[in-house]
Amino acid sequence: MSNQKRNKNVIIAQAVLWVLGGLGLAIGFYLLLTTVSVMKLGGLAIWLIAALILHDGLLSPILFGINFLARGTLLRVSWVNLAIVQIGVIAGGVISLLVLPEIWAKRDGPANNSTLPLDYVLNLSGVWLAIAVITSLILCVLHARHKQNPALTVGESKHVAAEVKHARKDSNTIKFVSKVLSSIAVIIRLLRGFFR
Amino acid sequence: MHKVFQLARLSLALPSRHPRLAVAIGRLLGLAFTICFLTGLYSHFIQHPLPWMFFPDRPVWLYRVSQGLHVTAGLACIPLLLGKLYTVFPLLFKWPPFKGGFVTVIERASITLFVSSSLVQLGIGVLDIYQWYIFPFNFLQVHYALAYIIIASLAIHIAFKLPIITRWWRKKDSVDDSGDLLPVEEGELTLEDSPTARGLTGIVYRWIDKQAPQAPQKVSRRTVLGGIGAGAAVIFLTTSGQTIPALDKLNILGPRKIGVGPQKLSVNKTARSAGVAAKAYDPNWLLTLKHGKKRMSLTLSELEAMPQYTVSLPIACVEGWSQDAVWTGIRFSDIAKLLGAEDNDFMVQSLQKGGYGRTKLEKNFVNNDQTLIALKLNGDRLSLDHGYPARLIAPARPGVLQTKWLSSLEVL
Repeated sequence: MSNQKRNKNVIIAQAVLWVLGGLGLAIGFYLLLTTVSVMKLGGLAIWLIAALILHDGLLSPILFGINFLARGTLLRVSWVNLAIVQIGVIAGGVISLLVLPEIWAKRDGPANNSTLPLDYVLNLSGVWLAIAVITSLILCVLHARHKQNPALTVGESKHVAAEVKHARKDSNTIKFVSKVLSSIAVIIRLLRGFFR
Repeated sequence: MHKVFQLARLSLALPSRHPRLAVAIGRLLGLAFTICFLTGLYSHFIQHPLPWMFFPDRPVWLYRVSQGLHVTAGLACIPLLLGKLYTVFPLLFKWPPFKGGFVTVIERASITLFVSSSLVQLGIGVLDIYQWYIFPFNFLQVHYALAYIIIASLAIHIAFKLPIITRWWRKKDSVDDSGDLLPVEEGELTLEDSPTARGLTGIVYRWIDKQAPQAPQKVSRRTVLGGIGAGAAVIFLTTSGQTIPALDKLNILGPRKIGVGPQKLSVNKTARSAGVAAKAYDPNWLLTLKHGKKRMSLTLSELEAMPQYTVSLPIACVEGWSQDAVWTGIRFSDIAKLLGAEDNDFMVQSLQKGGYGRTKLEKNFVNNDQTLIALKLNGDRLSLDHGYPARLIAPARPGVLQTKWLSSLEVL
């Protein structure tokens, strides 16, 4: 497709999106104004603003902080190992974000006895444990592969040299993982104590 | 201090903030939001139909799958949205925020609206599946209205970013032979204004930029994608067993569990919260049938004496859980024949007042042989919480419209 034709298509698509967007906004705001009382709209406005503040003012800086601390460890742990631990921590963080309100809701008293029937603190702890075990297993496998053949490093051909250099940092990785695990154990203990 | 800034720069991990990554995550998020929007509309209109609307009564799993998808896709949006926001994180520090005139104001207003309404939408969606109504507004009306606002502001956002999206849409246009992302070239549209940030933040950025060793690009990119994927996978595996029986054993974090509840089936509205216990247990209970001026009444014994049929149908809720159950009772079509009203819609009235106590049953559901006035559940008489003495059960219909504690059926 020629650039000119592509640009024309982009402009047409933009126009369609603008129209759809305008129409959708009109419907959305009309629904809000006609079906939600003024008092409740005020409540919604507070939540909309609070969501931004929570995200930009709390979640992002926390994420930044965690990242910051993780990168600090970077000086002792190789990139790939750190990435694997980070993926595990992100997965655990996301599921915790979902389950913490669930734990709170259960503590508040479920709507009936078929709602929120499980021990979510225990089960969330189990998920963290499973993530830690899987992450550690992957790290162990990588560690073993490193020892056997330093050139085999999860397809990062460009960074093989750097990886070889970082190989000696693997023992630090294990220390790092054990630190992460013990911190998780402390958090779980605190949470269980709190929600008892 | 230098080290601190160096780490700060690394923490903002530039390689993972490439427009290609924003596009890759963005289209997954767009897909998930679209699925949520369409399945949400389906559920909304089956409960509040416009006069010309028709809803199929087959296949029996239609509503179950639609709402399972709605909640699963909605939960997957959590890591996707957070990941997407992460890829554009430095834009938070752009200063001044509105430089660039009216168009920039509109652009930033639309994205602010999108971000905050998406966060609230996902937040109240999650609280709704826990049935934990701690927010100071009605769930139904706000969730419905925000759905349009989100899709609309997303459309406007896409319109603004379309040149970047088309530039980085295809992998072959985005990576070099070794799989590394191509740099954003001079004059090429990037995610942010150049330089990235102005003012104090910009000065700090540029200063620490000079110091920063960067993560290997692929590692950094894969960490973000891997984190989002792993987050979505953990959510899916540990919760979706509340609607997918094959994953029941893994369902350790879902708000519902298959087989947990009275008669091994979950309940949303209990008899107590509906305020119907006394009336439902009244030994003089009657099911009233109305057709114009004609009135008939059937006692529970008379209902039990009519031909009984057994069907396996799920209870499927808008909160994303669904569970199979075996129901026994009278075919609704037999009642319609009794009244000579096979071609009519019915109004189904519960002992429950208000809420979903009064629902319309369209004629295709009336004539479906699987639509029953159920008296038994899993072989035993209905428990009070499941609608004793009689309830409606029909295929492809939301749980809230499977009216419990029946009081009357009226031909429309």
